[in-house]
Amino acid sequence: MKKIFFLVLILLNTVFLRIYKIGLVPPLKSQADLDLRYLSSILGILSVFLIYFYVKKIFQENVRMGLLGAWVFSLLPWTIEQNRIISQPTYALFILIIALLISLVNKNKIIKYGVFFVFALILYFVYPQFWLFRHFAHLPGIKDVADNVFILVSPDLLFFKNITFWWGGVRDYGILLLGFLPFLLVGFYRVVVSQKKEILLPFFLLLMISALSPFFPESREYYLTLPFITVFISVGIWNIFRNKYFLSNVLSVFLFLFLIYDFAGFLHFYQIHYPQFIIGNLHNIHVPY
Amino acid sequence: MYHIKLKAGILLLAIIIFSAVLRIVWLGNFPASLYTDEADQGYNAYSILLTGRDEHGVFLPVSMRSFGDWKPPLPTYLMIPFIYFSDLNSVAIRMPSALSGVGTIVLTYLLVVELFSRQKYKTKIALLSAFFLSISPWHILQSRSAMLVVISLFFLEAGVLFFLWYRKKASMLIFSAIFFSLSIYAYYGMRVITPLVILLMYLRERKNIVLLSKEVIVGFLAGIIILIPLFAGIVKNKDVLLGRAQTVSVFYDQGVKLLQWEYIAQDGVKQVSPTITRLFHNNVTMYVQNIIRRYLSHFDGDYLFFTGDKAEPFEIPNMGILYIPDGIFILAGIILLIKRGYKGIDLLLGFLLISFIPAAFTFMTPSTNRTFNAVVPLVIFSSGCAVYLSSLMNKSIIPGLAISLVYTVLFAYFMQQYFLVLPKKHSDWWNWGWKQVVNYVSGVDSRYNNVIVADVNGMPYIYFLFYTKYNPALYQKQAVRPYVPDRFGFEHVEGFGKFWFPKNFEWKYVKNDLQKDTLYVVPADQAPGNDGYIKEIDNPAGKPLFKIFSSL
Repeated sequence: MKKIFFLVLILLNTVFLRIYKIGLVPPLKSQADLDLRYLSSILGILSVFLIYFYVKKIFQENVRMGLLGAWVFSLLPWTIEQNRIISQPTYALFILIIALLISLVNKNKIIKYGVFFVFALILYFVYPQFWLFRHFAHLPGIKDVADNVFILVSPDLLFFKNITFWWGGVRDYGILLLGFLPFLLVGFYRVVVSQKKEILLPFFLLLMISALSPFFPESREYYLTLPFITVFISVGIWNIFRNKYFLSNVLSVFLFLFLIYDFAGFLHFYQIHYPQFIIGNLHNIHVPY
Repeated sequence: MYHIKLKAGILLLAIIIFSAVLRIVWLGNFPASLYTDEADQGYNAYSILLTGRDEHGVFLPVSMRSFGDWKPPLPTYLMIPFIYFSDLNSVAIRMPSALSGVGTIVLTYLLVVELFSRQKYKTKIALLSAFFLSISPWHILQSRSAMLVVISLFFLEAGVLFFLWYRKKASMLIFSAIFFSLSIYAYYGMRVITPLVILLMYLRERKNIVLLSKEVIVGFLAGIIILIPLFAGIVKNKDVLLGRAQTVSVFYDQGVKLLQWEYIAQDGVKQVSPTITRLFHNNVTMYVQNIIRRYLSHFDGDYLFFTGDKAEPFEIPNMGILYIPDGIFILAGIILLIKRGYKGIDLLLGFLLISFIPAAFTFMTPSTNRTFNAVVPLVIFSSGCAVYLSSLMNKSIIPGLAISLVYTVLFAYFMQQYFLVLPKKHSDWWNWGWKQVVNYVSGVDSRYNNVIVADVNGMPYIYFLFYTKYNPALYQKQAVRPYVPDRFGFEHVEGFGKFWFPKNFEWKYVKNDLQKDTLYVVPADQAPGNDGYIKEIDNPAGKPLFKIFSSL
């Protein structure tokens, strides 16, 4: 009961973060776009719900981990940004999480792996902007791909400057909150050591696909890695907060307070500054927004 | 402290010889010219040797005022014996760095053996760490120039090693304290790094240390005594404490302030409560974010493996500061060493994280110079991974061969970039051309009353002092320097003897009103065309750098 209460709380918070002033922040290009923004928001909210099941399933029905995953995912600056605009990556991510869930719960290998072919087919319709469907022939060189990989995993992109949607995105924040950094490091280490291939393989595959984009750094395909990054962070939080050492507990409380401050700072930026930066850039955005 | 096995000893000796060759051979010619800071330290060492005073006339200074950037003194003092035995030249002033570079390789070997003393692969990892350090582009670049940081790393690493040896022999702590104190005299960043490393060492070893033991007290006193001149210098002049750090700090840069003003203005437009504005756009938040961002910029793969430091003269053309496979090796090495219970990994990680702190407080990031200490833990992680990778392959030599082949190719590429491409195509990064200018001018200057040199491209006055071996006692009397810093904090010299170095020199105006019997050294881009110069100095690629005009 308590766990359901927390899940509902997380979802209510998610709804608020995604719907509040959606027609004003960011500014609309056309009033007709509003309905499609709602579609993004609804899929974004459902994604948080699905992430709960996905993370729970990954960690042997650990409900707390599921809740942690849903909470982390709902707070990521990039999900909030993308869920409040017309966003094909949001549609794609929603489908991907469903595919991941189906793959996890099915032991039948045909379904387990076949579901990703179905996912790829649906992706063609929900995410036609995906570079694989548009410019397959114009791949960057090896040096550029390596450069792109480094940019995608750089602290600058992760925590300070998301350049994947230059004119329309929240450029002055990273795809994650800075407060997540210690958890990401610890979680990544734990996931690597425990050799969780179901997390690491798709993460690195999607990382490579994003790095291969001919439109880089306009590479919103990287958005699809967020479930896996969410798992890293959740595992990190789980490990750090379960530590019984006094110093570790003090540090955990400090990190948690910093995270709250960091998130509040993001919300302030998003509601106050982001619209002011965007308003002068609307003519540069050539996709539905 | 222990016996090195014969096979390991031979291999270590081979690595030492190899690294010495890489660092000492052609030391005067590569880098092809002396950077301004090198020439300055060299001349100050020469000046102290002959007069006991630096270029400013200060007797045995504890901080070299230099160009107003207050360089730490130890590297300069270490140059004195080499200048004494081989005269003032580029080899003599670079030799302390080169030898310290070789020394850090030996220390790294000993450090790994000590840190991983209970581990099966300690000797292999130690040898490979020493070898990886010996071929590290980052380490070679710094070892072959008189740029402070190799010397400071040497003393810091020695301090750490002797601290670890304290467990075996308590008196080692006294030597550790001496080395730590000396490191503070070698580089400004050490004034932050060394205390943090000592704190890290103490926290790590606190169970083994008896605080009131004779060795701890003597070590503490030894450290304090060595630092007394520095404290006295700071009391006399506060610039001695931070030196140029003041003008390169994030607090000096206006970028953060401008962003803060923009945010506050935007809050005003939206009529946000001033409390909220203060909460999110206060100085602490803005600067802490900026500092963290600059700190993390040193983990950017593009910087580490492809572009390197873009600040002259620390750039190697078309490559990073680490070899590309290091990226995987370092990450995997950290994970493997932690997973396999290597006890020393905590110290190495702490050492690594501390290494980036001083640079994070400057606005010129990422920086290879200020974070140079990081090279040691990075090569150890890399080696740890390589050794384990080889051990997993059941005595097959293929992985070892493959790794060797890849590193050989990459090392060959580095050698080409450093020894061929850098001097030929990027000689300007090292202020090439002043030696040639001075050589020419000193051959003809007896015919002139004045030599006027445009104050561009470094600090030309120091090259004239250095290459002419100008009498330091005479210079200290003749120097005309107003001690007014420019916007970067540098103090210029207006002239000495018959040499004058005007700022804002514009040949297009000067040429219409030439002084009698005067020689003019003009940047070539200020005097295009063939308009009456008597000598042209070109860079190695044939591009004109300076034109020399005569009013005789």
